Amino acid sequence: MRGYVLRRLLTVIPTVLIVSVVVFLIVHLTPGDPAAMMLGDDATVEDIARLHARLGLDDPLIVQYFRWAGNVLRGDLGYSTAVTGQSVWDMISTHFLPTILLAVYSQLITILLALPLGMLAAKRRGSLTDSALSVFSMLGISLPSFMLGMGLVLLLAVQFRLLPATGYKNPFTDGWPAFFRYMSLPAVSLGFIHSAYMMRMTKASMLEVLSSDYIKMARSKGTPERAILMKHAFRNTLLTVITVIGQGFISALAGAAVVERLFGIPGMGMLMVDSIDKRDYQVIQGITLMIALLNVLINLMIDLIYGLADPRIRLK
Amino acid sequence: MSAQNPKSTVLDVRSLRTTFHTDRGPLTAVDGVSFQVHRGEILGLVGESGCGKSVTSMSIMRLYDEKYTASISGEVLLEGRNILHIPYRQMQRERGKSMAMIFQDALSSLNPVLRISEQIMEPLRIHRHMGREEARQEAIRMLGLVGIPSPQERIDCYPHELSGGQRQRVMIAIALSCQPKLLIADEPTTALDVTIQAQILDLILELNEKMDMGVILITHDLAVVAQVCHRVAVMYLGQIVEEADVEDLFDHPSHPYTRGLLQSIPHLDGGHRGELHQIEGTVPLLHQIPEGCRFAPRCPLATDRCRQGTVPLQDLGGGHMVRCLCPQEGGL
Repeated sequence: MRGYVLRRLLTVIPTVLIVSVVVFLIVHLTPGDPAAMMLGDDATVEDIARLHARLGLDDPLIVQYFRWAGNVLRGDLGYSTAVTGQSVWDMISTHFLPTILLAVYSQLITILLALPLGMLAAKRRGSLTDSALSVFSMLGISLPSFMLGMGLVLLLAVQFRLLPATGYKNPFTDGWPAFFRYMSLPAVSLGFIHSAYMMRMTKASMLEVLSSDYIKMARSKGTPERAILMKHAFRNTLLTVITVIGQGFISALAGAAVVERLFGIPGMGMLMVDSIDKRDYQVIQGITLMIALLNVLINLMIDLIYGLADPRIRLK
Repeated sequence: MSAQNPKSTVLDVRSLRTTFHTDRGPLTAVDGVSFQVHRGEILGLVGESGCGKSVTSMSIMRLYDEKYTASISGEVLLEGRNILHIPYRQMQRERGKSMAMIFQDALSSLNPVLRISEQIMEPLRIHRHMGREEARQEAIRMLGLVGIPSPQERIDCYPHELSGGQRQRVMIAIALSCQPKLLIADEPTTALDVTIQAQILDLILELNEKMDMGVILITHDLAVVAQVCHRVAVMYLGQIVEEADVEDLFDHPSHPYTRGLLQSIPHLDGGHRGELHQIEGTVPLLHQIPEGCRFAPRCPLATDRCRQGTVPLQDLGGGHMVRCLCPQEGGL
């Protein structure tokens, strides 16, 4: 197992390098001049040129890249060009927590909803329960998160006044009950699509596992149905579903931009959208890099969990 | 063997009929199969792929989903009790305890994510109510019994860490852990090398004598049958077409299908030089079962009489049964 972990960790290095180049290029090759944006409409050509020189925007791209990469390695993500004096690191770290909490919460809802329902659908395939769950998951897949979000707000916040429509509470300063009151609607709207998808994957995977020879063998040993499901089938089903959970986290981070905007949550998605509006390229670069690194980290964790769950992987 | 030395009957299958519910309507894969297995006896169930041998064994173990997949009728008497209609939970208590099964492909039949210790201890804990430590010791003893070297170390392996022959031995250990009265071995050696094949067959023979249990050995390999079985039942399209003691069957095959099967075995010692014998035509699909004798369309001896009405099994004497209107006499 140790060898497997080590090898997997080593593959992170080239991935991160490539990610950093791509992030840098995307930001620098998109049209629009950040210096012109910073100085506003009244700026003279000379002013803009001076700012260009000060920010190093006239240097060749490769020089700019290495300067930026060197700074990043030292933990310096640069300064915002829109909000004077704000370091990008500070901006990201204040917006980091809401997004991560939102993603984790929405994925928890997804998993708790999708795994048992997917297993139930597989166990009772062909029954009324199965058909009902199919309709439900079809609905989930075809419903965009902002539509569901607005629907939920209309129903639960405006009509029945059960939950607040927008806003965010920090669980560590305002307490968890407040956090859940504010975050439940966003988390459900973010997680629902993926739970429909995960449910289908769980069902398909479970059906495949249930028709396998080792399940037949387990039945021929007289293993009770419960143990067949929980001990023999669940772990093997999970092998497929772990990948789907990883994808879910990643798409939750991406989808957070829309949901944060809709519910007024001060997360990284919100920061990202604002920064794009202001062409605050240092912040865009920083957030994109952070999200990319987060993806690399999630994939790493998925692979390590895989190694724990499937003894056949460790050996190779 | 069983004929000269009658022993108590372990399994008595009477008019077993298994019908699958498919999109194309019901398909009857096993149609009126009856046979008996006695203590200490190995019964060979032989036939081409798709003749219903595996369906027969799966139906006896009741491993099909009886709600959605298949309906089974007839009687399956395990030591005199009909187990075909007992509730599912009660059936669970019989499986693994009084009847057990081993499958063709040990790699796919052992759970890849569970250690083999876990998989052998499971029936011991369920049926013999052993504690963890006791079950572990018994599992180690069983692994030794089936010839796994240094079982104390091997017991904590995962299935993929063992060789093909060892995996098959592990599966046999699991099946025999609760000393069942009946063992069903569904093509237990098909996936193995010839040398390992012989070892596994020897092991089944040895354990069959030691534990005095009835064994149904399902195979398409007549050489395997000749090597280990006491009695043989030949199946064709869901029916038994011939059943006899093994010497009797090989010396005096009566059904044209059995004769065809035996002639298809390549011989090294002269005799059938040149091209291999093959039975004309192919096995019909289950929804195209011909009327009358099911083998008639492929039979060189078929007459119009064969194509009308069902052909019953008839006793040629000495427990030799054949489903043919013009059974052949003499050797090949």
